[in-house]
Amino acid sequence: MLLKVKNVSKSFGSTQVLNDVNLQVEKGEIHSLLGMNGAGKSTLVNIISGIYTEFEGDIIFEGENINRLSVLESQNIGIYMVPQHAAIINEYTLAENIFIGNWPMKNLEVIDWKAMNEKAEFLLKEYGLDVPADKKARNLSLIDKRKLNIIRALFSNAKLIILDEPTTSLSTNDRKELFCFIRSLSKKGSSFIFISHYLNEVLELSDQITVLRDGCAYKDESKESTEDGLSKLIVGTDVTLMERSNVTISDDDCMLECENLSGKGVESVSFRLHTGEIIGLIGHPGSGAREMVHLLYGLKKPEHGTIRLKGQEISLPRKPYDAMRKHIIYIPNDRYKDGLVGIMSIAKNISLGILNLKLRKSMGILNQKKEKSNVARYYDVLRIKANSPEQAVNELSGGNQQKVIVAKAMCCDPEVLILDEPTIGIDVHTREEIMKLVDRMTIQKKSIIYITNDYNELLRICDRVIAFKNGRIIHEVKNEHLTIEQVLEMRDC
Amino acid sequence: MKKAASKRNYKNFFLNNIVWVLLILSIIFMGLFNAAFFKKTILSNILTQSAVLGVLTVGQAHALLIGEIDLSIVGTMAFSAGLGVTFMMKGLPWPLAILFIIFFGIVVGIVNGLLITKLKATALIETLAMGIILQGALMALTSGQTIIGFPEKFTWIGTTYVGGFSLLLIPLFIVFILAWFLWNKTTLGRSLFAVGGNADCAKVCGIEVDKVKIKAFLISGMCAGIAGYLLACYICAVTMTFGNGQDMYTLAAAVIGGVSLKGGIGRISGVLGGVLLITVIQVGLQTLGVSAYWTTLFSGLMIFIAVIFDSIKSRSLNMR
Repeated sequence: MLLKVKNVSKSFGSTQVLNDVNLQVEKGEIHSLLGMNGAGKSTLVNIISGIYTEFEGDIIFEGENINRLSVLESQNIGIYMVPQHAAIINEYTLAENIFIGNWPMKNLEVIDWKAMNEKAEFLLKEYGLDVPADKKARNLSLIDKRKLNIIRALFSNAKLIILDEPTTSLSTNDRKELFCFIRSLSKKGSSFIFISHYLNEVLELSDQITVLRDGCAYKDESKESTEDGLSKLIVGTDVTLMERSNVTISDDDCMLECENLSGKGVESVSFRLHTGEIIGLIGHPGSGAREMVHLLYGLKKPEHGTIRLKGQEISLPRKPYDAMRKHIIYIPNDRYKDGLVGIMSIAKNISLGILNLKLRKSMGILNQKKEKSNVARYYDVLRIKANSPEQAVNELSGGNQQKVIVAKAMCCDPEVLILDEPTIGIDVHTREEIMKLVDRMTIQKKSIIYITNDYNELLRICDRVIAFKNGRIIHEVKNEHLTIEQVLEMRDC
Repeated sequence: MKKAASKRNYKNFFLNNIVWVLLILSIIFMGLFNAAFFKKTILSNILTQSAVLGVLTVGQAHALLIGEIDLSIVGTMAFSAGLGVTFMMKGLPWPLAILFIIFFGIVVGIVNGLLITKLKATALIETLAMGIILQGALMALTSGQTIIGFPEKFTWIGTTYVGGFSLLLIPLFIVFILAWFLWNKTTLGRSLFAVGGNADCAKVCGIEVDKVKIKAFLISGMCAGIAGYLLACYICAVTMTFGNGQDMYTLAAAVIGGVSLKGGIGRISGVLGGVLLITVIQVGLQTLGVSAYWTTLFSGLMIFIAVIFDSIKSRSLNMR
């Protein structure tokens, strides 16, 4: 046995993230970790790889207890994590990136560039990345960067490689290639912990599957795992899933209409969003989906095009405040970077969006009475779990933080609400609550633009799917019994 | 887990109010060595001496609150005071001279703000350069001469004592009360905290980050102008070393008072505490007869301690 995780528990502040988790990885095994956003997958692999060293329980690697080893020490004994976001230094060449910190030296501590480049070239070829080793990493495509990351792990003689959602931005072909690559390595004796959202690829690839749900580990005991069985295990039985209500959407009742909207990364995009409709935008990073909503919200300046809201043309937003005044509201994908002021209280965060819209009395004086009643209202509506609205948001769990952001958006009376990856890093219950809230909004004649990489979630909630590529819309399909495979096909073709 | 949270709250409460603990301790400490320290004259002296530093620190706190820094304040106060009194000596009526001094501070603040937001200049270096330019400009303006001989009405507020207390305390408290109102009761105040806490988020929330930052520097410059006038009428002169070293003391006072160097955290009451603490230590060392050669060392230590407290505090706030 290579790795044994024994009774591991971990909590952040008042949130229990992992609860008595057990797990084993054999030599040469591909072990998949499944679970919704916020189930504790990342926390678990962070513990295994030494990022978190404070937890309860034991991690045994090749018979040794490695509880207190740092990331570097863990790497030295052969545990290597390939993070979700490629940790590549752009200004270094591929060879320098591969050998980082371990550059071949001639005497006098001079780097032996020639040996390094030759060796790197050989490694790259062997692992199927056909790029010259002296190229700067910044010129690589995202896919190649991800491969480079894995090659780097292998080079350092990793025995256990943790892949944190390695396929999120890969096309179907690249994905197949990556799987071949992983499988051939596991035959040679490397073990993998593989984290993914996509059940089909997990079933295709893994020898063992562990499901995490709200911090507890469930082993998939059945010999014949099915997608159905797995998804039940992932969601659990105590959650009532959101079901999309039957909202009548009429083609004539148009909420938002964009015509030839162009800007950085977006080329003449035209689409309509009807009243009560939820449209889902898909595409690889840089495809134009996220860029388009940024234009719509004024985060990036639109170059030209027309936007009509309820039939009336509005001037192109030059800053978020312009869009907010028209009740176009955006919930950003990066909660920590763009969504919250972590050191501020829940109440103050909820009020941020309406600070100038509603809470400003003459002379710029803050209307504290209105603020208080407003906060109380949304604190209750969203059932935010905290000691009080005065608690700082960075003490909350991911789910509750997201609720604060949703509350902040709701205060602005959105007519068009843009949700960008609203369920990343939050627990199942909150996820369903937020999705139900979004669904209820459409009954009240609001319209929604929804971006997510979890296509299962996308298909459950969206009425229509729009696929982006190279800044343009390439497909637009009504969601009538669409399957995930069809969505992937739409995105990749 | 609850226990841990409440323990953290106590810790935060202690760290938030550490300035008052230190203030009381240092007063007691000074008094133990020299009983004269408890006399009203020294108390009054401390408050008077804190006026200039207090107004300056309120300005600096605005720059710190948005996560920036303003090292031009001493240059600003010196040059605006120097320029204002020069004009006054050449016939500008004294009330206009006072207004001019404050107005000039505002202009410098706006220029700082524009350079930092629109040209994305680094505040640390930009304001440092601005400060040196203005101090140099004062020297050029006066050829190194000290300007004295102001009209009595101009210096009235700095030289008049009522019941043993200087009138300088009035502008000091007005500035603090206005700042308190701004920080706690206005949308601009809330925006300052939001921009300092997370500028990206503030932007997404529809707050115009650049405008808020410019306003913060404007206030900082204005406070420097006011402080320039107060110091000029307190010492009845504008000298070459006008306000030297005060910039570092404003940082120490603000940070010990709980204003985070990373932005987004601070209370105006804490700033007041920090200013009093720094002044108590300065005046205390003087009354104890500690050689002036030592005071710089002690002041450096104060800044050192302030920075360490700041990092302890932000670590405990970012536990997650």
